[in-house]
Amino acid sequence: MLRAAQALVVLFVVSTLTFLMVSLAPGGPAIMATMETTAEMRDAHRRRLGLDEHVAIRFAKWTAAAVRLEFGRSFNDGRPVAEVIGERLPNTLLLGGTALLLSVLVGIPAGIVSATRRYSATDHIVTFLSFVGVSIPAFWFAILLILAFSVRLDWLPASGMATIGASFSLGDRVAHLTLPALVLATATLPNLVRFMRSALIEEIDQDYVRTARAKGLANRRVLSHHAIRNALIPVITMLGVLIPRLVGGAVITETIFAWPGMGQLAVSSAVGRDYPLVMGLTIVVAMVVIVSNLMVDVAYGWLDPRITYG
Amino acid sequence: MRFRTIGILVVGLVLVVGGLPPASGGPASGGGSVVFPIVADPTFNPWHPRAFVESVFPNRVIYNGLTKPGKNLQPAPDLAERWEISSDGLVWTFFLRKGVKWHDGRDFTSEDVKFTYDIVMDPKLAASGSANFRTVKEVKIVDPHTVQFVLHSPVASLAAFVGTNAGIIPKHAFQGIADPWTHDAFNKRAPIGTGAFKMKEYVPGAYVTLERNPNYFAGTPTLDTVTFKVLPDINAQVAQLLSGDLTLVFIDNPALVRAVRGRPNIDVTTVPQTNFYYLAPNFQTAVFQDRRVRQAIMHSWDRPAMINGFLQGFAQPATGPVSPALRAYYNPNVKTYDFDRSRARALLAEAGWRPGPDGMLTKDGQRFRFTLTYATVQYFEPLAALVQQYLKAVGIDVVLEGLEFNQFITQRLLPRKFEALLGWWVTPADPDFFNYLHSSAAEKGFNLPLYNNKEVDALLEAGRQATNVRDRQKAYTRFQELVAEDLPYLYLWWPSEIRAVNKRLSGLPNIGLRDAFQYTHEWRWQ
Repeated sequence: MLRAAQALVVLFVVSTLTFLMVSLAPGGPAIMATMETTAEMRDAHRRRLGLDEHVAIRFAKWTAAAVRLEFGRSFNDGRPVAEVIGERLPNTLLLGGTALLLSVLVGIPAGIVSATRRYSATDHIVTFLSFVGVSIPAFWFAILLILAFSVRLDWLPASGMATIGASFSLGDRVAHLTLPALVLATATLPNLVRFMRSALIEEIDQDYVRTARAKGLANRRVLSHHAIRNALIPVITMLGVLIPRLVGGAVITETIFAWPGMGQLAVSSAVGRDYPLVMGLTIVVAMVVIVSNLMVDVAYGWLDPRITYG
Repeated sequence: MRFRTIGILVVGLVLVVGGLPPASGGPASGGGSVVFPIVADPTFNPWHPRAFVESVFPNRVIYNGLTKPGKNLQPAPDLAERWEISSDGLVWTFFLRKGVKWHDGRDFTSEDVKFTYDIVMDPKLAASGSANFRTVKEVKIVDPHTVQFVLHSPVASLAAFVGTNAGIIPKHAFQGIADPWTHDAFNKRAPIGTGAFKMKEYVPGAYVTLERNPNYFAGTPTLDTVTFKVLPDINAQVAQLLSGDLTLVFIDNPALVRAVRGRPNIDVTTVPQTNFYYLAPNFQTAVFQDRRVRQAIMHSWDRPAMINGFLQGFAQPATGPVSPALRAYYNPNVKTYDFDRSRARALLAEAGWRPGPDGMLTKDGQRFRFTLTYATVQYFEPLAALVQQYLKAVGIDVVLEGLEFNQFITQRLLPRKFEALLGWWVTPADPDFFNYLHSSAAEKGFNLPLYNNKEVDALLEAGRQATNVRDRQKAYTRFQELVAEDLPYLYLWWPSEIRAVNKRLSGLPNIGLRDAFQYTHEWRWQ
């Protein structure tokens, strides 16, 4: 109950700040921005869009509608905001989910291997690669992958969600998903590797691990039943921070790979000053952050039953 | 055990991904498909105030105008088979093609032409491109296949204007719609045109696929489909051209030419354009009111060096607004301005500007300083910095103001709140610069410098009123001399259009790509 109330407060603060920032940003909706328009025409258009009212009144009206889950119509598309976002959200979830899965499935084992073979050649390679991953700019990495896998090798398509004109097939979808998911995963994967490595190293050096080993428990069992489980707690916290980063990374990745998701929509709606759409997207992103934090809390409880929340 | 499970999952994923068959990506078999990038989701109505550059290309394929730019850049017949002009130049009669069908099977008639231009001429709607039609008083239906444009005053360039981003839209699709810009079902999703290709599939944010119109009046197209893929990043566009995912791209950053040149499957060609880049002085800014100052600025920058730096040489210094691409009207014998700093300083001295203690110019205690506004698009950011450096070398202090494009348009261009700006015009293939330089276009047209010159006004009016090419040539020859001398715009260059095309595509006419898209029915995939 308390968590739900907290979530509502966060949503309200985020939407208020976004509304203010969007409304105070210079420029206005590009609608009617042709040179042929006169100041009177632009004023009439602002009235039609309801932009002539004070920002506080507009925000009050928007909030009242948002409570009823009505987010208005996109200035550009004309359709209800929920419908426009509903079309794009699954695409972003697919891309973001795959990137997250890739990060977890590769990042956590890599971190464990790196920690358990500290200062070995494997550790050095994993550490080096994760440094490269953290430092590499997403747009550059994306172009590099396209040049390697689409231009040179011709293994994978360079953009879109499906081959244009072809009917849906799972193989085709996975092929289209691979490169953008790889690029997006570089926003989270190297961090997970680094975090898992240092958290596990810290646990390995603890007295309880030494004790367990001294009692004759197999090393693998000590790691899997005790050390890794404890090391995962800070890693899960990190994951909560990284999920919103996936949403941010989607802006660049979706733009370069022509992936019709919310990141791409966010860019075009911000550039076009499509205020209702910007607000709708903000709410969805805020919800993603809130839900991911909630999931982190649930995971804590599972990993360490002593942790509870009121 | 858990390690093993995770390991199997990872290896499995790698095998699945690695073992996938190569993606076909490129066009499908059959008559062939062309895939071209656009920068955002389009609006499928050529007159919509939000139909910008992303919409121009699909709309030129979906719709037809009364005319279209010919392969020699003279207006050629399109929906109108021919046209006649009354002796006083005030009535244009367009004879429409018979038997033309809309994509939904309905007949195209003069009702559609009247409906379209009634929207364009409605001042409350502010249709995109409507400035070209301000002199149209009325569009009259003579019979189902004949329409008349009755004008307030003669406009010789009307034949070019009705063929540039001026697609005719169907009256029947707008029945019961009070405001055409709110008809989103048509404008944003399911357009109906008369063009060579019609809507097949639209995935917002991804692509628009148009399929062959078997009933196209100018002959059935050979291509199966034309797809416009939403891909705003030029680097990604070039990479996809190399991978075969795109068939042709329009390279607006010449630095990328190196990446595509010399590839076995790609041709890189250039086409002269009619657009020009400029610095527009605001004539209400005191420092620009002396012509000698404007001429001094033209002498103070090294345009060939700038062209090499920004455009890899794919442009030529402009001598005026009329490009050499318009062969019938271009006047090469006008005043030109070489890079000559001593000449620039001498002209500024003649105008009363003297170097102060820090070497910067002053006059009557005022420093020569102005703000140069530009949009942070293309290469304008470094260009503005370079202009600043060149002008500093002759003692002019330039303050730079870079703005995001939306802000640039809404806060500076539309209310004319600037001292000088960097910009460019993409104009119809016609020497009629009435909307760009006539004093009547200063407040609400494209006359950004707020230029007011009676002689230029008279020449622009004479050019519009002339009923034959020779009289038009006479007016525009003198017009070019005058605007080269008086410099209402400080001309930078005429860029060449650079396009990279998959060698399997043929049939593109050697004209600008926007215009070439009106010939998609002649394109072939081999």
